[in-house]
Amino acid sequence: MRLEVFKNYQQVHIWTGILSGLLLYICFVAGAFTMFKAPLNQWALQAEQRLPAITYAQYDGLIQQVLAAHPEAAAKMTVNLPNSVSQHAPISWVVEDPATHAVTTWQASLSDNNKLLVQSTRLSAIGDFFDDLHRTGGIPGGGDHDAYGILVMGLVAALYFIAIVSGLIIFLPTWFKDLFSMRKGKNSKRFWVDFHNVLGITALPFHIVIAITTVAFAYHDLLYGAMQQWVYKEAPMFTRAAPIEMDRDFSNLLGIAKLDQAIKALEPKFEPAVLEFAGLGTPRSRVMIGGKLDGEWIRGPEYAYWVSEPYTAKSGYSAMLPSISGVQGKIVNGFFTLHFGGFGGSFVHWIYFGLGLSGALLFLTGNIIWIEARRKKQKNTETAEQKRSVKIMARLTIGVCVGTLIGIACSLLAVKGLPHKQLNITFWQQAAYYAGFLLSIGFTFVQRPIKAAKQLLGLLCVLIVALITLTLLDLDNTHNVSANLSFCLVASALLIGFASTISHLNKRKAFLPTDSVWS
Amino acid sequence: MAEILPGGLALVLCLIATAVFYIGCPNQQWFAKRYLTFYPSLLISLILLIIAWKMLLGLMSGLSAGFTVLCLEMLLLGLLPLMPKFDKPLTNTSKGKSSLVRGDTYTNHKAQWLFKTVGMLLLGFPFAVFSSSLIGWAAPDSVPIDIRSQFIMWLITPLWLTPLSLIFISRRPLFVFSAFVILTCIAFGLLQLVKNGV
Repeated sequence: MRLEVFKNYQQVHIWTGILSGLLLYICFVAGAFTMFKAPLNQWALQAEQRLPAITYAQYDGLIQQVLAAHPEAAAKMTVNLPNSVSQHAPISWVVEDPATHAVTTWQASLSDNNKLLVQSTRLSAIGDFFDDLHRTGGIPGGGDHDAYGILVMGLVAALYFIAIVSGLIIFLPTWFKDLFSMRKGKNSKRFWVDFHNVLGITALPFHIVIAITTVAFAYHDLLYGAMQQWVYKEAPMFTRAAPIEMDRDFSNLLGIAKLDQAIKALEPKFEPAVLEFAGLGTPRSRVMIGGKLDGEWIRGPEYAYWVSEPYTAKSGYSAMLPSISGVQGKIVNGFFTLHFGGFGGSFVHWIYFGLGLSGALLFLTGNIIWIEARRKKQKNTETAEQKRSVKIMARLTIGVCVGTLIGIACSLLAVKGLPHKQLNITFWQQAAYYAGFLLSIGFTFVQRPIKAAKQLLGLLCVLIVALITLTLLDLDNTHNVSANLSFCLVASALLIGFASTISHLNKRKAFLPTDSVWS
Repeated sequence: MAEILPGGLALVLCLIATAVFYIGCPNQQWFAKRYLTFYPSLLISLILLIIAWKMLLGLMSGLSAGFTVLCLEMLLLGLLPLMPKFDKPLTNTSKGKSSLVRGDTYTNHKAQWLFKTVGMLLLGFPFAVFSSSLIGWAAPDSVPIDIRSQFIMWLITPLWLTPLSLIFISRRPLFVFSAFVILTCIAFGLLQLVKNGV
């Protein structure tokens, strides 16, 4: 390889990496926790937010009772079947105030004597909040579909892709010498480069897939627009079902068993778990059925999806089903499932959790290398004055990296500790995250970096202990046993990891050179 | 339990396969003496991975099982080398000549960052749209239009970003840009032919 090419790509890798690293860190950490979106939502539930479970045979009756008593539910209603991951209530719907856009969640179930039970509630949906954080990097503003954070993250993911390719190119000339090497010694930059190389090279395919899919998730409207303008022109890109003339009275809705039958005719192993009805009673009525199809290339992180007309189960949109989609469809499903880790049930979710955290470490080590490479070394007795950019980046790296975790711990603590009924819990979980995140960053600018890192990690450990304690105090033997125990297990593992990092930092402090950016 | 057992066994097999592979690598830092050379360790670990894949077949499809093993390997191969026993690799792998050589243009070389980035960003996009559409349209007519359009959309990103990432290798960006203009025209022309059923 020509030396000038190598040097060019070194520059490309450095600048794309440093521009995207911290935002990617936030997204990867939040993304790792998003792997447990549904269990975290379950973990956050409070006793009064649960309505009794019902049997499979009772669902049709409940749907009819809800639509008769609360016709507003027809606009958008979710039905959680007994095998659904969400088990707070068999039916829920959201009512939005047109003036204030404030949303209220309603839930319904049946009492022992088959009477309709309805209540309004406020669900924290903490798992969904982490998903938002994962998609936007925590950048607020914009709608759900076109949030500013998503657009920014699309650009960041493009830089990330270039950083991956350039990283590979600069690794190639010395790959035989460097692969799996972890050289400890006086030159701390060498150690961090080795650390960074191990994490980056071994997970290269994962990072390529995540980068490409993120760009497509962020800019798919733009890409479809270009295709329509330049390629398709007047031709349609998607099928639109022809409207069917029929009486759309709620009583004509197909029962769940019939819908199950219709989908099993297409995908025999499909086990419906959640039904999302929309626009019932109107010509635009539809139902999206999410079902378990473990071990297949499915669209969502938990479920495969089928969309249909809820009165006839005809004109269904079956392109998302793995058995029907063919080679091209498998490739399309592959992009989704390889980003979401949905192809192997909870086993793969755990692997993706690990890959998410290892990805976060990759960006952290990348930033450390940038800082260490720019550090001015002390000559003789003269004290080296570090560049302002290096000092700021060192503080930002510590602040953002520990701050993201502190913010997440604060939001979890708010959800577990605050009463959901009396407070707007979705607001408070967000406020807790941003307070934890921003105050941590602020703290690194008033304290010496190494000390700030240790104190913030100490605070994080305290928050985790509080979370484990609250979870154990609230341990409900009838609900969420596995979600609660898994939470305590993961929290304990992370606690050990952070505590050992503090102990390592304590040992390192004695060896830090006086000209170190961190001291 | 029925799911935990094959999953757990597959995990253990992958862990052993990763450890065996690592031990056989020249840069391993676990043992003072290398007990296995590279190819035997690669062979043993591949056999173990195939057994792990077979175990996972009870839980998932062959494709999913393959990707699960791959993901697990990515994770484990990234973790094991982070726990070295020695401070540096004991085999000297730094022998041999560096593959880096000074090119003829090393002293008067100009990176042309802006020109290359903007040029490839602009020219790469129509190339990606037309070439991915051509690949999408080359599929049989039986492919539903929804899948065809989604397939095309997903291909655009890698076809756009890969040339953008590689343009900095080029010494003659103008030549590359001209080639991309020609390739875009060819893709566009072929697409019209395929769309019209020629």
